[in-house]
Amino acid sequence: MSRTVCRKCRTSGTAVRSKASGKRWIMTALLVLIAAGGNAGAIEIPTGYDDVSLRWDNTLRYSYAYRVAKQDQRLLANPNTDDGDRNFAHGTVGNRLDLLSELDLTYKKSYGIRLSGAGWYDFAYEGGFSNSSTDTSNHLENGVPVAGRLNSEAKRWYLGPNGELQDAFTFGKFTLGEIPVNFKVGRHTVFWGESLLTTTHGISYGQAPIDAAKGLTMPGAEVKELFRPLNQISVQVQPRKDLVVFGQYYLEWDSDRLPEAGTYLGFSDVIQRSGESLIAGPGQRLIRAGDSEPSPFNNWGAGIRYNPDWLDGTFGLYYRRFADTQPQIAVRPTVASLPSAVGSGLGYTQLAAPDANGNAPFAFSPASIPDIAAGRVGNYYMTYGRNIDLLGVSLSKNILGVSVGAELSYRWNMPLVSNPVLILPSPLAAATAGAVSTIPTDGQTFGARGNTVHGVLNFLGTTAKTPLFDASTWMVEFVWNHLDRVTQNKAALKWADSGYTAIDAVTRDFFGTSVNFTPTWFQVFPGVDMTLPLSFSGGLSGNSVVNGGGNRDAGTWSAGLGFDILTQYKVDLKYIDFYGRIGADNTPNGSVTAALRDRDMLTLTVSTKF
Amino acid sequence: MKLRTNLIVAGLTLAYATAALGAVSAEEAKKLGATLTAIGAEKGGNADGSIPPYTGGLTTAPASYKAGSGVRPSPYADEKPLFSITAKNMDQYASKLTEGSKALLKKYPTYRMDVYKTHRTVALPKHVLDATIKNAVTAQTANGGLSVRNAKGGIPFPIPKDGYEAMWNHLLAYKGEAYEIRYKYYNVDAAARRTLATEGIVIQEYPYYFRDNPSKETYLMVNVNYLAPARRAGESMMLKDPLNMAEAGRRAWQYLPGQRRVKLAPDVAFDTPDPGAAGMTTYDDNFLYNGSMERYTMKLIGKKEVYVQYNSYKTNYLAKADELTMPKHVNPDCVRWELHRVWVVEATLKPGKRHIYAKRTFYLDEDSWLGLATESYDARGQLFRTQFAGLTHGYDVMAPYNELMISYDLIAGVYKFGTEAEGGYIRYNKPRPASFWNPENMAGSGVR
Repeated sequence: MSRTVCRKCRTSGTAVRSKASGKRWIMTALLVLIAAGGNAGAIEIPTGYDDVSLRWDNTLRYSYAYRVAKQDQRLLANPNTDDGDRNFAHGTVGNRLDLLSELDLTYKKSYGIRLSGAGWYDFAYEGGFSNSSTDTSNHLENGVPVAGRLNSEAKRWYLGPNGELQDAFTFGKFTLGEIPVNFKVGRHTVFWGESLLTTTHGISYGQAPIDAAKGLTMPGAEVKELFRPLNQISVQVQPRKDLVVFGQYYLEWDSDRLPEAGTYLGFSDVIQRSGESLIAGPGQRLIRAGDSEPSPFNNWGAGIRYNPDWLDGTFGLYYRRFADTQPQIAVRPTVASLPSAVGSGLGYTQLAAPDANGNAPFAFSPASIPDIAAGRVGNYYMTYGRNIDLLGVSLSKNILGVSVGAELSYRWNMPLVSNPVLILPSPLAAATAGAVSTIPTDGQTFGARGNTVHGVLNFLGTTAKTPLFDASTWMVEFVWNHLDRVTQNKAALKWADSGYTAIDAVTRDFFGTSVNFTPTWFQVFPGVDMTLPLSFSGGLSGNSVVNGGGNRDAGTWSAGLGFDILTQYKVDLKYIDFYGRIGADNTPNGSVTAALRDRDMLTLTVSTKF
Repeated sequence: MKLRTNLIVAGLTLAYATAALGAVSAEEAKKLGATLTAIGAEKGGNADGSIPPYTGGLTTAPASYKAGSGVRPSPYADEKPLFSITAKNMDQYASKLTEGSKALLKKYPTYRMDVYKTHRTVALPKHVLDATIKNAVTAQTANGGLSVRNAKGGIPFPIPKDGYEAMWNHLLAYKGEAYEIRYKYYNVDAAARRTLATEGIVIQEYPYYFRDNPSKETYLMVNVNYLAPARRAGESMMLKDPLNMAEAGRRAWQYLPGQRRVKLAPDVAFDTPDPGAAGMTTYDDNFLYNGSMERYTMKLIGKKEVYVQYNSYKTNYLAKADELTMPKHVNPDCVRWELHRVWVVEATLKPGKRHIYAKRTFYLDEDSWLGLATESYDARGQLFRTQFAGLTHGYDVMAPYNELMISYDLIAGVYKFGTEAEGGYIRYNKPRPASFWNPENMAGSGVR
């Protein structure tokens, strides 16, 4: 099931256009966008049959991004996180056109098909990247590092022109006796629980891969905008008027989409689809090998939602078995520094004379001397943990006009924040804490795993006119994460009990919060509504024990100005800031936002639906 | 001493708040069906005959009506206006104009009201009339007018004694058991540019009026599915209003597209801007007033003869948006005004309560109890918005309808109108199964 990892990277193929031609493209695209908006309204297509309705909606979006912050030398100092930072040293960092197309065909309002897809092109990725640091570039061409160029996966998702199918499913509803049944089969998303903004602590964690690449460019985006559809079967049955029972069974698995290596928000040069090599030391690299991906057929879930009159709210109970969508890392070096007697005794190839302490570098299987001479000193693996169990409860209730949602869930066998696990020949593995001696496959993961508790509490409200604004919507979400116990490879866990004390060491408890507040002014000019979307998301205390779970003193905030023109065009101007602490040895505090702390940017988006 | 007085006042307020009020004597109720119609309208015409006596309403559809289409042609299409009211001659008719009409006539020289012959078209099913007569001696408000009790399947207070009772008649007016509407709302800005605020399908039911299993708790259930603008397509919401509004309160839910799940919606009430009107009106502006009356003192002013939009088949069902749109106001050629008797209720914001409308006036049709016009004033006492609901009687189903409004914002100079032309309809149907009204159902059946 492993994805082929890069990767013969094409050096030709996508023609690089001159800047002048690029500008013409933008102008043409904008004209198309405006013309398209002007002809709006033809979204429902007459089919000639009363029972058949067909809708086709298109969203055309142009977005521009400008880097505001200067490069942070501490981030550049880490060769495995610097490529994107160096490629986009200043100025334009995004100049992109997206088209989203949605088609719904419905028969008798009961059965139908939905298809959606997206296409894109980004002029900022045509070339001319400013990275010239070959030694710290993780991108390889013909096995040799090259700076200022992109991997083919990064090109696919960022440069384009390219596209992807998103939703593609059939749906239906019928009654079984008196019982209504709804089903969907195909690529779609299903989302359970009450969480709104957290992508990691909800009951819905891992229910669909998250488009984190998009999420980072849209702080405050609701999780729904970031869910990516997977092939699955989902069913909802309503045996009583106040009870629904539902389930899903997956036919596909995929990992989260992260900003690709070498792109502006590529916070890692190693772990995405486009990660090709991990720099282990000066002139020494580990080469990406096949991922350990879980079986797509072992993931499913079921639940009930009960809303009796006496409760005046909705209670939910959920069980899910799923595989992680975020990776842990395993590394398999083919060289190590060993006491020369040990190395020789095991029959390894000694590469140099022993140092003063009697240690010498040795090479072992599957090393090849030409590889080692070229600095390729082993492999690394992305491992996505399988067989996580989750049991959760949720409650939603309206209290004093505010919609309140709460969730509490327990996960068994959850992959935890870990150091890369060493894969070594068995004699060495036996002597090294946390090391293993087998290659991970099929969703095996060797990092720390354990049982965790996750809580979510959110409030959603609106306000009417005040002297300051005409209306507003707001949401506040608190998350809590607790490590109950570690059940696998405690030695790999980044926490004090395992002897790990760097700035990103996890803590038993973590608290975080997210706040969105959007005041609106109607008709600031004839036909124009204005919004001022403000958002903040950050850790309050502790470092979460799950990947991406949040860290103290790290987060993101944004402030924007949005215009909704004739309910047809949207123009959004936004300032986005990432923050986080950097500790000793230039280690970020575990958060993506710390690794992006110098990537603050100004974005402009113009979109229309037609 | 002061404290003591306060305590006594508090005690009195409390007593008032919990006491059930209402119900007329059997003697007084005898007027229903005699000098008054069963729902409390004056049977007779007015002195000069410009309002005719009530003769049972319109119970046959015109030949041009196509059953099942949900589009109702006007039975009076051939009629010509009797006269027109403009800024020039408005003083002559001043006593019969709402404040909103006066303001529009004064503000816009092109505004005009074409007055047609009055037809008292509303006819209600016999079971509603029978229940109304029974309610007259049993129904009561409670919790300071905010809840209603001991009313069943009819207008609760055909002989209302106060503003709350009159407004409950409006809230519980018979509009059919269940129906589905496809509508469009347009906003026209100060520069006369028209934009589609929303297009949607509304499924509405009145469990209070169900023939089978009428509800003693819930009187209104609404489900809205937005179809346009494209970015709103797939959004939906649901709400339920209880008879005991003071204690049970409104419940509303929204379906979140993309997530395919349902969240409790906050504040789908009062002066929260209505997304269906792109912020041009408030949630409680719908139907001219809906939801809890807790923020207002409702005062019954009395009855009055005024020009209202009536038998508005053209504006509700037939006129295309292009035809209706004019700078500043709806094209007067399309709007039919008739003289009718209305109940006038004045709402004043209670001390300590907050709403963008500090005062509102409601004009309720004597033949149906449906709101036909309203004026809303801001905190400075300035006339802020005025809205007109054109009444059309569903002559095929014995149900009047008043849910499409023309709303003018007199301060911003913008207006909004609704239409069921261009593919829209009002189709009456049987109530859906209870399972449909479980909000979670929106999650299962949502496609987007």
